[in-house]
Amino acid sequence: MELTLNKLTKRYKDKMAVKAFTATLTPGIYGLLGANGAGKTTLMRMVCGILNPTSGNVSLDGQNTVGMGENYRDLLGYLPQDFGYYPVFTALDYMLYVAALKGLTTSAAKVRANELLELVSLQTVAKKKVKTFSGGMKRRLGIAQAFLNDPKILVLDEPTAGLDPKERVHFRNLISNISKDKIVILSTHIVSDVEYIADTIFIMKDSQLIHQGKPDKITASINGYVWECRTNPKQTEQLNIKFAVSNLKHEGNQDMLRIVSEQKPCGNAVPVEPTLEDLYLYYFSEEAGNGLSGRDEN
Amino acid sequence: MSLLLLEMKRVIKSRMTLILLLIAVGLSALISYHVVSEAQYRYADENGKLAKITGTEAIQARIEQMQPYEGTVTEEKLQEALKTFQDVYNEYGENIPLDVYYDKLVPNSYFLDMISTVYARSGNMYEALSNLNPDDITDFYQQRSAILESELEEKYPGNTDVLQQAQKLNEEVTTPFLLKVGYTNDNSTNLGILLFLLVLICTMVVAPIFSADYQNGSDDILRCTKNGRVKLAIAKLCSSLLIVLAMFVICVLVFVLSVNNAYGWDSMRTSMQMVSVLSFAPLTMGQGQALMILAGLLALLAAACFILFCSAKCQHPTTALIIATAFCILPAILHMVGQGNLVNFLTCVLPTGGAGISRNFFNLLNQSIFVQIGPLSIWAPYLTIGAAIIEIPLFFMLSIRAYCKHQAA
Repeated sequence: MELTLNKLTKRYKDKMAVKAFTATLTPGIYGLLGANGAGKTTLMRMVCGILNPTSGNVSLDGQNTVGMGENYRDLLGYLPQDFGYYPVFTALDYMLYVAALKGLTTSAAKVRANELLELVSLQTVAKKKVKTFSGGMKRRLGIAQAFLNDPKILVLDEPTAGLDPKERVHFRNLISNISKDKIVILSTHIVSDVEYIADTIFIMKDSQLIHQGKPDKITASINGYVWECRTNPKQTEQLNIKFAVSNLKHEGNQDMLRIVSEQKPCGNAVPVEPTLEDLYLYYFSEEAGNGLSGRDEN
Repeated sequence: MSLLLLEMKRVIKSRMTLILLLIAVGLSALISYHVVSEAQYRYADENGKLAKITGTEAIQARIEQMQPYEGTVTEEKLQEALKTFQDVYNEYGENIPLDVYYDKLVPNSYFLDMISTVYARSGNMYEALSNLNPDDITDFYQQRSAILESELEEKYPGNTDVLQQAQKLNEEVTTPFLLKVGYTNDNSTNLGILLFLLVLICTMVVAPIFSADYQNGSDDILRCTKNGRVKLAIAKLCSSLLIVLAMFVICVLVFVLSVNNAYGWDSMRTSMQMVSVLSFAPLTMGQGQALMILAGLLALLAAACFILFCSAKCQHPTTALIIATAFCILPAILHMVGQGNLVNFLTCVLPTGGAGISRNFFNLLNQSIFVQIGPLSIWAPYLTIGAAIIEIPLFFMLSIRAYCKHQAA
């Protein structure tokens, strides 16, 4: 199975939302990282076919997905960033409704819906109205509906927003378990969601794909740009203004800083192994004076 | 089928929908009660003073009073009525005592109206009737047809098509007319009000069907599914139409069963011409009521399809609701601001044309309104029903198209 995003572009009147995004996806987990407004949601909507690109196309095994119509949609599972729901429905009602839309028979829908509600720990509230749910519960319901038709292509936009750490770990493991033979595209701000499970990372900035690769390879691109140093509080304040600080830890009367910078930030700074979070900060730091060029690898 | 039932469940479970449906049933009960309870029967009491009874008692009293006058309206009956009037007029002039008025003239009012329409068209009605010779009204039905033709020639000069259509329909009118007292034109007016209100309520029920999903973002997930485009659109449309259809059937049944029972089913056999003597609709009151209900149903479905189309196009349910409400009241506004062929055309072809409040379908059946469309002249009831029949599938298909083409915001 091969999903090709061919120069996908979406332009609105006065704004370029996605510019010539090109990538070929095979079964595996793809993490889509980017700041707010980078174009992730727009890209995902185009992949799902609910937003027409200005130019470019999406094809599956060489076939344009627009022409495939319901055959393509039959393979999809989608969780949008803003999960709209019907307030009058119970969780089970909603699952059965979406299951009917996904083409499941009534009996299969009931079995599958209950299985998934149990998987996302919502079985005890299956008969409660969705409008009474917390944000995290709604999110879990959204995740559950995405899995109803055992999709081959799973598109999840900020799936862990509102989930506590335990739920996020549970979700991560769930994705890892089901991702065999599936294409999973997962966008998030929470780097740890993808750091341990993604096969490939896409980084989007200002509507463009600026970097892609395996997590260890793309973090290697900023080898030598991540530093750790000990400073006093006064120095900390100055460094905080001048550089992108990815971590700050108070240790007695000193501070341990982790800084992302192309230049050595201070005398006693030592280079350390970069992480994906450092890479994120490297690309999305707003301070030009931090000595970050924000290189585009693509 | 499963998707249709789930969608119906979703719509009916909405509190707003339930409230609106209950309001519709409540209104139909209220209007029915009003129609029956406000029926009046006036008479002169033993002191010669005006007395009045209302409600079912009034209806029964009226039916009993009119029993000797019911049946076929022969020329002899008309002559008898005219003679009765002339006797009263010669004795009292225009200062007729109440007891005489209610005993002798009111029961003959149907016939006197018919005679004056055909034979005494201008001036003071009493004077004109008093000057008529009863022996000159033996050709009532022929004269009526002649008057109808001259009216149409005056209204549509040189238009032989109009004349031919009217003549053809008039030939099918059963003569002599039949009078069975009970159901009145006022009852049809109230039915017209009910039908209009049902269409208005329907707009509120269906306006959010698509646009609410756009607004809260729930359609993003739905339209990504296998059946989330055409099939979902069809399910939403069909479920909405079934719900408003059920609402219509229940509400109209409440009205028809209570009002027709109170006024008498037998009165539905009365000729439509007893409402308007120059009407060329070959119908009884019952058939007229049935056609009015049919036109109302078609208007409801046409309006619902149109509003669903608006809902599929609009991002916000409020916008769809405003547009829908505007189209509901547009026919009434058009009537207020002007007359003429264009106004007649628009009020007939607008989706809510068959459920107009200012000119209901029952009245339309009794009027000689022909709409000119190029070389064609179409009788207004035909145009109204024809337009609705076309608009239902048209807006149904357009709604599906609009929903499928909708882009996530």
